[in-house]
Amino acid sequence: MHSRRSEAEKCFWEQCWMRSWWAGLLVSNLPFVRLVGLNGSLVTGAWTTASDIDWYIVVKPGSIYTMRAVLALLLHCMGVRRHGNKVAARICLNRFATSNLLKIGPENEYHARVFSGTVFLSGWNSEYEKFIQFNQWMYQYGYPVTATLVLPKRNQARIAQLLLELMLTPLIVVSEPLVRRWQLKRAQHNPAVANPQSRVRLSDDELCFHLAK
Amino acid sequence: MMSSASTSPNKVFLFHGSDTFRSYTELRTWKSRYAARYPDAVEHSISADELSEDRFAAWLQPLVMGDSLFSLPAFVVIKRPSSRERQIEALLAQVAADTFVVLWEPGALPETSVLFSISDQVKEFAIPGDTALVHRLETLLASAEMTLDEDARRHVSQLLRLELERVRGEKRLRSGQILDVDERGWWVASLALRLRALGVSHITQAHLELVTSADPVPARVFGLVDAILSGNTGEVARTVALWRDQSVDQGMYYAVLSLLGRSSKRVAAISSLLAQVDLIIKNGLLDIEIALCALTDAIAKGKEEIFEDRLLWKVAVARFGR
Repeated sequence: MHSRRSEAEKCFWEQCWMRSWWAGLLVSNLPFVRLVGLNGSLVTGAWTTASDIDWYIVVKPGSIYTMRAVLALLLHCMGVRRHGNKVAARICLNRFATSNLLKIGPENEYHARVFSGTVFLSGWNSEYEKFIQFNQWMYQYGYPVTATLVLPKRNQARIAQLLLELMLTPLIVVSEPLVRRWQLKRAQHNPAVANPQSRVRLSDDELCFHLAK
Repeated sequence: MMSSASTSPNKVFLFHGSDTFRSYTELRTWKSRYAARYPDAVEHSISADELSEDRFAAWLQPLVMGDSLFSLPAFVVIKRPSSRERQIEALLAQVAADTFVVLWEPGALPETSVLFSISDQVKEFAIPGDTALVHRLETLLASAEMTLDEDARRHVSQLLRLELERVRGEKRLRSGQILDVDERGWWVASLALRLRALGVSHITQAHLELVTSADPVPARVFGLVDAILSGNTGEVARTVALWRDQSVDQGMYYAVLSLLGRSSKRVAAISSLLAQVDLIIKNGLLDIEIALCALTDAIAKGKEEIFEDRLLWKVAVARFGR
């Protein structure tokens, strides 16, 4: 079945999976994080030994900018964030969404192919079911939604997460507009974002960066 | 005393290149040759990156200057000189008549390196091809009057390619990038030693498999996925038992499930079985290892259900006392 793949490529996939697994378990336990999903070449089967690890992260509405900054900092400190020339086996935080916008867009063959088989490593079952429900459009492009949730969060863990969120909400209320302004300013000044070849979507419910190379 | 300055004008030798085994062998050959030629010579050897800059200079300077009246002839081996090349350039500006210096760099030096300009003789050991390495293995075996048959030769080539891919994968090199250090020469030497230990004169593919089977097989998940999809219950049970002994992380099992999920797009028959496995695991009815064995059994026997409903209910009762 996988005989086309060399041993090195198989090892690379395993390495990426385990890195993604541990980082995903850690991130999914942070407050305001609802789902941590793995998509892209590692899931579609088109990976090479130079591939990165694409993540799709769903957070609570009203915290998307702050959580993107927090996660970028956390993964950077862990040494697993993709940046500059460090691409292979690094985690790429290129897609964030809130629970308000679980529909992947725009509707096209590329998004259907890349996101239909998303493997959510851990998160809330309710949000996962919404993802399945809102993305049935992928079927019309020949990609039925086969996304899976590997470790659904148990009720106790969800309650603990909600309690923590309750405590941190005042902080998020203050930080969100500031971080939002900072991130939008950075995006505006980034020539790669202005490149017409790049696919960038910025809103309070979605942050998507597919920058032209 | 050595009076070689007039007979051999070469004072500084540079051995470098990706093929570390060959350059190391050449270094040893060079040392033994010089030891035979100058029996009263003293050998000094050091790694350039071991000492601080001052201590390195204090160590090297008296050796190359040979300023003592009673100094013995010496040959000096400096390993990994690239880390101190500017300092070495300054220190080797003048080398005493009866001193010989070998700079040994395990890896390919850039063309701009100053070590080239200060060396009288440079030997480069580039990455060898598969054929050259197979030939090297045959030479090593021939010294023990052993030969490889055609299948064994092909198998060695394949193993060498795998080894190269593994190393490139470990170093995360892209297709165009060149390997800076190639250690397959050491692998060939170790293989030759293991084959010689077998004591057979004619090496076949079976002999090779015997001696290389102890090598760790790095990719584990894909092997298990293939075994499950082909319904190989024995192999799955063996692997799962091995993983349990090795306390393999639970994430590896989920990697198997993830890959199976991708395969289910091609093998439609297993998608419903996978959904059942998912339910069984998420409800904690069975451990994931046992669920995978049961899945393989269902695939092998072409069953549509992994367990009868009644059996599952019994398991639930036994496990949770409901």
